[in-house]
Amino acid sequence: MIKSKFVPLFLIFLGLISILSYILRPDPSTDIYLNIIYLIPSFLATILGIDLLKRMGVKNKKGNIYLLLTIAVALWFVGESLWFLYKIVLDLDHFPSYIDVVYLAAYPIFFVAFWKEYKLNKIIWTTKKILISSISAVTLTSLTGYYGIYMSYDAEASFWENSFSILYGVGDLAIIFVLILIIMIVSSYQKGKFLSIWIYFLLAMLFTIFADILYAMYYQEYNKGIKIFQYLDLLWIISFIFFAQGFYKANKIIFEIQSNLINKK
Amino acid sequence: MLVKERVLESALKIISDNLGDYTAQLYKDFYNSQEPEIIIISVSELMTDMLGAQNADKIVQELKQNI
Repeated sequence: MIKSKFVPLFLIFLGLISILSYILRPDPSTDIYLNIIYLIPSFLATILGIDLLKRMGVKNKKGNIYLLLTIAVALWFVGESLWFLYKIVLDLDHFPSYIDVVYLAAYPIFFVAFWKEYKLNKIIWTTKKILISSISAVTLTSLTGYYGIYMSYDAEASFWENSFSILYGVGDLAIIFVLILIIMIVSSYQKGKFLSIWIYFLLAMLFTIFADILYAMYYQEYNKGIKIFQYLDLLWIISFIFFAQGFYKANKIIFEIQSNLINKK
Repeated sequence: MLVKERVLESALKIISDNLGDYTAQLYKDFYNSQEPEIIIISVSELMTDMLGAQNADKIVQELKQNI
């Protein structure tokens, strides 16, 4: 296990460095330093996910869920790295391309992971839960449906460009559905130690969906490199930091149980 | 299968599913010398600590059905 107690502190430090860098550097869209900073959180989340899998194994139910989450995060890391290579290093226009396939492949994997966790917890639906879920679902679905699907259609764009743009919107809709599931999962954990893990995953997915919705709303300004809209990257960075912290927390909890048992022997 | 074996098997499956195979292996060493009632109490406490009382109750009810 990555034993360092400094992992959470490092993740906070990374978040602060990222925020400061985006504010201080003049042109985030083409800045190679910022684009490297952007890759670090998804790389760390992937490494911490793999580290958790080494402790958990993957043939048990929770291990299988963490495996799916790690694969999904790893796919986004690979997608971000390829994007960095093509856009920043080689300066190639690449939409749509196989990089988008890598990004999009993560969405159904996230969906399956959270669905499995939901089924594992045998959630009991109360009126309050149904009400909160319905309001959240209608609000987020309306925003994503309008900006992510309806507004993303461009009559002048090619069939493939439109298809991929719409697919991102559909992926976000799937994420909204799992967000509702994660809220139910979190509520079922009450005061259990696993609560913190799933709060981190919930925050990670919330930041992702807000970043995606805002990107869908302002993608033209973002792609023109207007600085204020480049701050959207920070939401994705924070999302990966929460994923990393969730994996680390799960690993730490299990490590402590195992250590106690070994010490009792 | 004896009651203890059934409870032990179910308890280890619960621990493995939530905390991984190695943790279950460590608990197996501890549970081998324990009575079924003690195993159930131990699993109940562990799951309450990890998953919260509501989730733990559901799991422990299923475990008790093995007696």
